[in-house]
Amino acid sequence: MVEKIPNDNHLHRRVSSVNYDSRTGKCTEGTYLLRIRDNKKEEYLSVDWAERAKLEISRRDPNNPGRIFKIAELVVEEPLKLGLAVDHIPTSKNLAHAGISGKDLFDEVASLKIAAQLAEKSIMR
Amino acid sequence: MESIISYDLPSMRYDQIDISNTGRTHSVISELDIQILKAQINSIDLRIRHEIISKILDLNNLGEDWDSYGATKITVDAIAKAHYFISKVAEDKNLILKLPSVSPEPNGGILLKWYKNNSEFLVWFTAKEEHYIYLESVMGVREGSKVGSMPELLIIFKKWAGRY
Repeated sequence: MVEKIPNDNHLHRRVSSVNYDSRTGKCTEGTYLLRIRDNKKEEYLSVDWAERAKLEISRRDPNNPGRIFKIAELVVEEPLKLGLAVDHIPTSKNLAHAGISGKDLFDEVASLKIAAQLAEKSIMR
Repeated sequence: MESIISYDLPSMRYDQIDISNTGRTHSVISELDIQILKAQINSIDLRIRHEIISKILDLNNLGEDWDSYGATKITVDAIAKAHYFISKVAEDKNLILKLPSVSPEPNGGILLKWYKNNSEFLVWFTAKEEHYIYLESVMGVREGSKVGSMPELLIIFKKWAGRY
């Protein structure tokens, strides 16, 4: 069932070690840039609704559970403040699945600015 | 009164000897000292340049889906552009090369980010397109744009580096 995610809840996104800056203790901007698949950009940034997910499961690559990642944690309110939407998009394999979307994510300059702001606001887990 | 005296010693030529108003010599800088300092600075620049380029080249080792969300391999174009940019910055004797954060982005591009005082300079070398995106951040306020050429990007970077 699709639910409304409260603004004070949290979102989790996996962070590759190459997207972690040890000098700042933060993830880098690449963490929050949309991917192009089949010549088309993703519609949203996939995240897990932290309050409905298990951190140890969110850390694992769903296609290769042996690969374990760091996690960037964001308060739902942060993407909302930037004019983005946060929606609960549950799947059969992941009921905590959610997405961050917005038209600015499709513009290179605007998306880089958003990625920088979200990376700055993220806490690493 | 401070004075500067230049004279030769039989064993070594001293260019500057500062004498304080108490008459006591407090610093001596020889030509040899200057050459040693310059060599040290050059070797630090060279080491930093090698370190940055090595980090950029390492990104070539990332395979498909390196982030678990379907990221693509870093392209040769992005590596070449980032490498060229660093080489041009290192060649500029008016700039002190500092170590940026080097990271990949999921569409095959590279991000370099410098920090200085309360400001940041972030540049995105895209996977294929012949343009660059940069962001300057001062006290948390970010402004940026797309630029169409490397010389234009270098001018913007030098302005930022000289300003902060």
